[in-house]
Amino acid sequence: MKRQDGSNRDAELAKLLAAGMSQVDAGKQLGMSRSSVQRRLRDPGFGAEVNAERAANTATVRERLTGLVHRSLDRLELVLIDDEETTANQVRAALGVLAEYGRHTVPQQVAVSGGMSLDIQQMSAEDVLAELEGMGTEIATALGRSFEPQAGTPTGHTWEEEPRAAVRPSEPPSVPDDPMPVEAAETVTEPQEPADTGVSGDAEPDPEPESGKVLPLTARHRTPSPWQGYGPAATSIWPD
Amino acid sequence: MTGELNLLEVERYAEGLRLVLDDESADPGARVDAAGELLRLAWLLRRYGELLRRRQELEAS
Repeated sequence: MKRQDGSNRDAELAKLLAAGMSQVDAGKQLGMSRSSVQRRLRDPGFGAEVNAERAANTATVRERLTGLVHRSLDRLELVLIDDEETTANQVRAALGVLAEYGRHTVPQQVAVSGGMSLDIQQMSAEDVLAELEGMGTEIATALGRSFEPQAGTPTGHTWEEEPRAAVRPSEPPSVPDDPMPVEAAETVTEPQEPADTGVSGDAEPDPEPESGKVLPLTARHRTPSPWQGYGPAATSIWPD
Repeated sequence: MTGELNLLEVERYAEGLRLVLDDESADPGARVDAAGELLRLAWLLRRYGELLRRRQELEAS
């Protein structure tokens, strides 16, 4: 009986951690200390359970977002062909479409420096972990600029009350998000002056690339976004 | 356990963007930005999923 309870608790703990809850919060919810949670995580079997749960959650979120991709592209297309739209909005829509195009390049055709590959199957364990960290920083920055949880609203979120205020409406972006087609990515060289990395908080700055070198993948990920600085400082999306 | 995202936060963020995208009374520029951001987020999540899968493979080997 006790064994069954422990198993149930493990399953619950795995679900909470996989959803993104911190070790402290997950432990509190189940009456466990943080050190107990960490001890469980050191068990390879339990770690695999959390990973499997997380993969399932990620797939669910990804499916939801995939469902919105077509609508987003439709929206951009409508703006592009609408003669009554402002030039600024049409430029932004074009940049959005180009960025999306750049994301669908064949990884094997893109050269990157430092031995890192865009092809995940070719990446070392160290590179996989490094990119997961970099990706988290990028998403955290995105969340921080327009995501402002507020107690008392139906979803704890300002979007419900002021959806238009969450996105700055009128100024065109000064820097494209990631409009880098294959051909360009292969020959990209460093900028004359290193731009602001756009990374908030205590993230380390990119090392300055030598002249003529291809930019490393992480540098591309940290291209300053036109959204930078719109919202509050990035909140951590990493569990403790 | 390095590199875990808070998927709940990501989902909330995506939902906020969807609200703007679907809000016909919203500023057109805001809707364009929301659409572009949703595309970017979808790509990030897709790559994140691939990275997780690769990490599991590496951990198992």
